[in-house]
Formats: sequence, structure tokens, C-alpha cells
Amino acid sequence: MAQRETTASRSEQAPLLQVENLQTAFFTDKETIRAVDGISFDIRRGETVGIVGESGSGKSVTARSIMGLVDSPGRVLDGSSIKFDGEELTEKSEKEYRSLRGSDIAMVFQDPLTSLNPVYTVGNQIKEALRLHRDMRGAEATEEAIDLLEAVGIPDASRRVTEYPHEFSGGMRQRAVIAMALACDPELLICDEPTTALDVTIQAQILELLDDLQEERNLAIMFITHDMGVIAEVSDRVNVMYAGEIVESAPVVELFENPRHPYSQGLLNSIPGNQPDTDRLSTIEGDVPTPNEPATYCRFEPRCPKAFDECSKVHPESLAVNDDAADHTAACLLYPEDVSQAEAVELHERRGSQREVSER
Amino acid sequence: MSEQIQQESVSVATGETLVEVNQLRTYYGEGGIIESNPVKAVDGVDFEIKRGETLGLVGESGCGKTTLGRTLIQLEDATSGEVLFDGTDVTELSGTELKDWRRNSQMVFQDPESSLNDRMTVGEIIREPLDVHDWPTIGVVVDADVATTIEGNGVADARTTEGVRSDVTVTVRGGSVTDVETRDEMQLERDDVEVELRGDDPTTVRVKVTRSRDQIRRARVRELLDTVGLRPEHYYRYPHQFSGGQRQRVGIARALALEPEFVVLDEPVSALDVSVQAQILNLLEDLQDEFGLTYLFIAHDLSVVRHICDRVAVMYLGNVMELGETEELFANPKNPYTHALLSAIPEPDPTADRERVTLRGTPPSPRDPPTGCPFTTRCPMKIRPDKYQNMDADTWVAIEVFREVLRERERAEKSLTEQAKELLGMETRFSDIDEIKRELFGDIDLSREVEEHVDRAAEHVADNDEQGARRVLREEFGSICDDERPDDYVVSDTGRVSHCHRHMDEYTEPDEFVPYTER
Ligand code: SF4
Ligand code: SF4
Repeated sequence: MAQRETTASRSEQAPLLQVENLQTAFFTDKETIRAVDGISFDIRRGETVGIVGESGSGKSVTARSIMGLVDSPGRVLDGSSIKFDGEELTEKSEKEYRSLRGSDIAMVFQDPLTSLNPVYTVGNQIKEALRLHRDMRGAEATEEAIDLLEAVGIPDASRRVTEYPHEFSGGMRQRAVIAMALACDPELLICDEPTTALDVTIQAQILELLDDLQEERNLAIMFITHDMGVIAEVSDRVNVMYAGEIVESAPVVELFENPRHPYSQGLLNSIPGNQPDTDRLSTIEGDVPTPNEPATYCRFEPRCPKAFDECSKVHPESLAVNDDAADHTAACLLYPEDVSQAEAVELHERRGSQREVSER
Repeated sequence: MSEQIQQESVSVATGETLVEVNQLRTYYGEGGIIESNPVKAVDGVDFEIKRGETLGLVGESGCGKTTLGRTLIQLEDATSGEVLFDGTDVTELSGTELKDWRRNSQMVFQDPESSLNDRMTVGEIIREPLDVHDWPTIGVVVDADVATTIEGNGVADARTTEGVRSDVTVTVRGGSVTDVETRDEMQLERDDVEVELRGDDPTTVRVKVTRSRDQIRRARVRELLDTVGLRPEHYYRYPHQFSGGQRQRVGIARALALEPEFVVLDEPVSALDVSVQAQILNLLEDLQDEFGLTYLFIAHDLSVVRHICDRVAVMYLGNVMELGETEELFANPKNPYTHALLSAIPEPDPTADRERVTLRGTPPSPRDPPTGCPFTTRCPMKIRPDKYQNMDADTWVAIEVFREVLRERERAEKSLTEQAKELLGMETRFSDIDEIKRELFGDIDLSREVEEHVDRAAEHVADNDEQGARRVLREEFGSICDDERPDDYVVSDTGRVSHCHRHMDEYTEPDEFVPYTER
């Protein structure tokens, strides 16, 4: 990761993954939860895009939507578009999705045990992936499985392939899952809090491993986490999610040095490490709301220290924060910062109604 | 610059000691049916906690920090050693003595989800400890110009009963009651207390509380709700109707119900979102100021610890590796493990350009900890034998990994068939030693001397004698770090201690030593 130089030439390359107006909702008897509510972003080859947010922000549902893993009562809504290498995924059948899942896009979850079957050896599981996606069998597959375990830094790999998941430590299990993901030689790796359950020294090993693998294989990585420290370390670009929406998107250095959205600012300020000398931590009062109705207002308004009248009436759209910052957007009525507030609000209103028209 | 500690404990700061821990050990799984080593969760630690301070306990999972916290408040039995609270060794307490003492030390758990009973209302949850301990016992003190004794239902003489506070103060002058005062936390008004005097020399002071226990407890719960920032109507709600942050507030209110002096906070904010986490941390600090609480704060998130703790103890494999004042320890760690741990934390600053020490491997099993320093299997600053001082980093790492692989193999359970195969001298998955040698040393030019020892070790492995192989390697490549447990050394003016051989005069201090792998 940390290939920050790529961000400069970002726009010249065609995106590998392009998400446009993704909406995923869960329908229950009581309510409709709009877990992901109209988000757009893209990822290029060799690049790591971080998605950061608190629980309930919709970051994991975003990953599952891309992977085609949203189960009933959830559904990706019409009008959403997910293009992988130019190909539309939302129209794919379950069967088509399955072949894509193993081969072009792979996912690493927080808990490695959800991806590992306890009754098969680690080696057999990797070999199964090799058989399915690369048509390898027998000795050739065993050989490759051992190579993959070595590639993810598991010593004594030839013994380890014969062991069961429970014989691995937490960090080793996550390495094994990454080896399994690599077995299908993916182009995009989606990592959903892959190090959250691990200790820091083990986390450091896994992050280093992902970094090396990315460099070797020119992998595109989508990295989901709630940890601002991890995001700072791995990402080239960051999208901040809140209550189903992307509220800010910027290159990593820019986001940390100059966060614009009041939520990003609050989030960064409430990290204890960022304020070692202060006695009291600054907080964001209240809790994350459940997005259960279409946003016709700013969902952060009840907790926002900068809220003003229009915030409860106008939905903020993702706009460039100013005229020179094409790759830094915020969904907040305070921006663009180089026009008057009234003009800004009007811009958001206009953009909102355009979007509605085009959706019809 | 460092001097060795003679005594088992060091006084780290001025101020009164509340808790003193001496050579504490907590082992699990001893004397089971299957003969196996016990898990040495806590393996000989010494430290003190001052009244009113927050001591942080950090370390990776399995380092023993939670067991240590639980042992301090006797939720876990100590295998040996002492835990002195105000001078009393609580590991010796049992029965009612233990129960009485328990009020004084409480615990807040990590996961507010599973630590609260979902079938009880929030009010009932907070009230439960009050019911269990038959709270309140009302402590009475009499300020009189004659000798007095105290009587009454649910009343105790606070002048003679340990652990009872002065809840009601009665002033007696010239044979009559001139004043009665009540303490706020008791939920009693002046009108709720009737006082009668009988006889003289000594005068019997009869104290009767007219408010029912039930009323008093309920009022106490309402007050606690308010203390932790919840609203009165929350009394009748259920935990599942609450957010994570609110549930943790309930857990805190419950822990405070009996007015403890000492609270063990076991990862109290780890399950919470950052923005909510900050609210709870602020609350904990407010409560400490208000009630003069002493905290043991167990956490793996070091930035949280840095913010809230006065002093920190860093644990690894059942041992305290370093202990000292927080800012000092974070700014300039002395122990190699602390150094590695701190450098592994990702900083929320993408421009931060730090050298990171990435540790190899995982901690060894607490059933089979190294004989010498607990950190020896992963330490990047480990002392090497003189003749290998200049060995290149790759070879050294390969040897270390080789040793680790052998240790792992000994630990890996061999299935019954494998054991049988081994007995019959058949091939097992454990015997492909040549492959390992190739994997580890294939690309490395070994000196004759090194190769000889590696080969000898490999022969032992081929004979299914992993232990012998480990011995060969240890004798050749090991050092004092493998053989002897380090002492604790005082490493700063404020009395910080560190558990490492490198503080001895003959070795380079850890903070002046450049790890071999970084040269
Ligand atoms: S739109 Fe208004 S309420 Fe929302 S973040 Fe911006 S200022 Fe705050
Ligand atoms: S005693 Fe040796 S192994 Fe232990 S921390 Fe010090 S240098 Fe490292």
C-alpha cells in the first residue's frame, strides 16, 4: 500500500471497480433499513481504498453488496451499479456471481473462522479453491498450496497444510484465509476489518503481508475498518461513511491533515492518541442513527456542532470541497467552501433534484 | 546506570498504597486427569497500586492481563503469592470475610452485551448487588459527651465495624440528641431516622430507620442512573433497548452500587465506537474524581491507556515486562517488548514516518514458556553468543525460525495414528526435516560451524527427537536470554522498572541497541 504516487495519476487509469449510486436496503415488518444509501466510489489497480466508519455506518454491507452476498431480507436496489473491469455485476445471476467471487474478487473477513471449515485441513481447503478456480489437482495443487502458505509467511508450511484450522493461532488463521483468497489469483481483495480481532504485533505482520502482496501482484484492495490508525497506514484514498452514506472522500494525507466534514473532524478528534495532553476527550454526542427513511436532510444533523437551519431540510450531496480540489469531496452544506453559504445550499439542492430526475 | 532491585517490590511513587501484589502466580489446569503442564497465566508479578491512581495493564491476548485483574479481586484463585489490600492478604479470605471485602472491589466487563442479563430491567440489574449484599448496613457514629453503645435493626457501629462508613452521625449533649446528620449516598433524610436514648453509662443510642430498605435501594439506583448519565425512565427498560455506550453505563452503575474503592475495568471501551468510547472514558474520569476511585484499567488499545492511565504495566506471557509512569514509558520505552509493542500501533497520521519493529511469530504457549526471558523467542534485541555477534541478519532469523518450528512441532498435538506410526518408525508428517532445512536455509550461505550444528539438530529431528534438536540449537546459539529469567531493573528516576538482561552493565541498553534486523 502506501503507493501514494499513484494518486496523482489516478484519473488517467480506468477504474477496476466502479460503484455508482449503490443502495442496499433491508426490509423487515417494522421498517426498511437503508443500510447503504446511494454511495459512489471507485478503486484502481494497485491502489488501496479505505472505507472507515463506525458500527451501523454501512461499510460491511457495502462489501457484501459488491461480493453479491446480501441475503434476504436485504436487497441491492434498482438504480445501483457496480462495475468490475467494465462489467456490470448487479445484473448477474447467483451462479455467475459465484464464479466471479472466487476468481476475480476475493474477500477476507474479520473472523477467519467464518471462511475456514473446521472439519477440513487448511491444505484441503486451499486445494479446493485451486481446483475450482485454477483447475489444479493432486500433487500440483498440494505443491501450490504449500507455496501459498509460504507466500503468506507461514513457516513449516508442508506440515501446516495437513493441519486443521483449530491448530492455527489467530494470526496464522488469518494468513491461511489470505492464502485461500490468493489461491484464485484475484484482482480485487476486499478486506473487512481483517486485523480487528488480532493483537497489534500480529496486525502489523498482516498489514505488512498485504502490502507485500499488493506490490507483487498489483492487487486492488478495498480495506474496511473502524480504526483510523490502520486506515492512515494502509490507504491511498479514504471514504468516510456515516449512516449509509459516504460523507467525505479524499486522498489519505489530505483527509487526515484537512478533514472537512464535521463528522470526519469529530471522529479524528475523539481518538485518544490524537490528544494525549488534553484532560478531556472531545466527543461526538449521541449515537449513530439507523437510516430507515430516505435522506431529505443531513443525517449527521442531530449530532453536528456546526448544524444550521437548512441542514434539516436539504440533503447534502457529495461536492468538491472547493474549486481546486476535484478529488476531495464532502457531503455537507458548508461546502464548497469558496462560495457563500446560501449559494452552497442552493448547489446541493440543485444537485439533489438533478439526481432524482436522472433516477426516474 | 541501572541498579538491581534487591527487594521484591519497589515503591514507585509517593502516596498511599492501596493494593500491593507480591510474587503473584495464577496457574490453570493443574492436576487434571491428563498429565499436562498448567497454563501459567500469571507467573510471578510484583507491583503496587496507589490510592486514587489509574494503573494500566496492557499486553496482547493471552498475556495474562485479564487473569491478573480477576485474581486481584478474587474472581480467580491465586496459585501462590500475596494480594494485599490495605495490608490484608485477600487471597487468604473466605466465607463472609470474602463477601464483605468484595463490596470494596468491583469489575466492569468488556462486553456490555453479554455481561448484562437481558431478562432483567436496567433498574434490577443495577440493584442486584444491593440485594445480594443486603445493602444498606447503616453505619452510625455518635459524637457524645458520655460513653455510648449503638443499637438498631440494620445498623452498625461505624466506629468499630470495619468497612462501614459514617452514614448517620448523631450528636448527643447533656443527655439529649442535639443533631442528626445523614450522608447523601444513603438516600436518607433527617426525617427518615428516629433516635432514642436509653440509660446512662453507657447510654444506649437506638437508631431506627423508618424508610424501608426497598425504598432506600430504589432511590440509590435512581441516583446511580443519574451519576452515570442515564435518565430516571431508563429504570424500567431492558438492556437490548440500549446502545452499546448506554449498556456500558449500566455496567458502570452496577459496579459502583456498593461504593467500592477499587474498580477493575476490563477492556471497558474496546467494544465501543470511537466517538462513544470517548464519552465513556470521560465518564470514568469524572467518577474517579468524584468518588476517589482507584482503577486498574486493562486494555489492549494503547492510545486509550495513554490517555487515561497514570502508570502502566506492560505484560507478556504472564510477566510484567515494564512498569512506570505513562508518558515517560510511551515516550521512551526501555524494555525491548514495550518498544516493539508501541512501534506496532498504527498512528492516525499518514505522514508519520516511523521505524517499525515487526515481530516475528506468535507468543509461545503459556503452558510451556521459555526457561529464560519470556520474550526470548521473538525479541529482536536478544543477546547473542559472542562468536555470533556479527552473523548476518538473514542467517540469524533463519536459525530463530528453525528453533520456533521445532518448538511448535513439539507443541502440536500428534494424533494417535501419528504417534503409532512414530513408534513403528514410519514416515509421518513430522519427519520431513530436509524440506524445512531447504525452506529455511536454502538461499543462505552457512558457515561451516553453523551448518554443522544445524545438521546435528536435523539428525535429532529425523530420529523423532525434537527435544534433542532444540537442546543442540540452544547450546550453540542460545544466551543468557534463553537460560536465565531477567531481574527487574530500575531504569529511571521515577522508579520505572524493566525486566531485561540488557540492563546489566555488560550489555548495551535496549534503547541504545539497534536490532540486528535493522542494520
Ligand atoms: S450539512 Fe449541516 S448538519 Fe450536516 S454536517 Fe454539514 S453542517 Fe453539519
Ligand atoms: S532479556 Fe533478552 S530476550 Fe528478554 S527482552 Fe531482554 S534482550 Fe530481549
